[in-house]
Amino acid sequence: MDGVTGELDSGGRLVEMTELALEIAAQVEGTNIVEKVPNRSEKDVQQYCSDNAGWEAQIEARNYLPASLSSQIANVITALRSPP
Amino acid sequence: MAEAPLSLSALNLTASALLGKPRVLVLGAGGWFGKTALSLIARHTKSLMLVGSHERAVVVNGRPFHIEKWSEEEVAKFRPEIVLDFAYLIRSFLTDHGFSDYVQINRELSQRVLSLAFLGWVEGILTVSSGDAIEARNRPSTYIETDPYGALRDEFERKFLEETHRHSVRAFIARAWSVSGGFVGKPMNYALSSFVLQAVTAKRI
Repeated sequence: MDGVTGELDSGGRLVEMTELALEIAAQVEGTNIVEKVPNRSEKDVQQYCSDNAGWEAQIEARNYLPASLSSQIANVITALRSPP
Repeated sequence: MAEAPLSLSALNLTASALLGKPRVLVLGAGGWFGKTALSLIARHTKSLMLVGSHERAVVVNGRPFHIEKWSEEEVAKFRPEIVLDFAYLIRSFLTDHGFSDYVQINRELSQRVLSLAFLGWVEGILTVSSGDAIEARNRPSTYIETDPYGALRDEFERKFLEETHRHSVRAFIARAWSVSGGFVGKPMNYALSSFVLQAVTAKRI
């Protein structure tokens, strides 16, 4: 940032689809995971994600506490059950 | 209706950023990011002007808000100090509008934001972009035909930084790569909300 303009890419820990599904299933009782897909990181495919460096630097500089994956899932479950 | 849980960290950051800035204009106020912003800023802002694709009333966290259509004249009367820009047609609208209209509408939305940089009273503009802008960077100009969303986001980001710098307006680009939130408008289009929807409605992912 030069004081006039700034840019920030969202970031966070990379999560594979199957891991995400397992985390959600853990919060919605009785949920079955029908198909587990291979991890993208194990395949030679282009990754769509930020480098996370700017995000990590900014949250540290601003003493920001980002929501955990678990709480993000809980928020979305609450919202989709009863829209805010 | 439930209240979307708000992050205390986000609320505190928003409060400090808006301190002493009474007039805030929100573009794209009725969408996912717009409603999220409303839930964060409403309690800290004395005067809000909300603009969306069409006039309507929305309720965010139990509080009613009026969204109006864009009017250059009304915006000039309001004299916003801070602009929060979430007005953009994402990729899923391409099918609805067709290539030409999609490009034209998004360029018009971009031009509105750029025009605000010329107004003497606007001190800062925050816009939300996408990781697709980075993906589009360094691609040939014909890339717009392959991925109009990414190419247009990249085109806008460049002009936005150029124009705001020229007019000494504080400018910030928040680039969303992968985000979640309770105000998601099309949950089936995003992995996290799509999985949650499948789990909640069918107990299977």
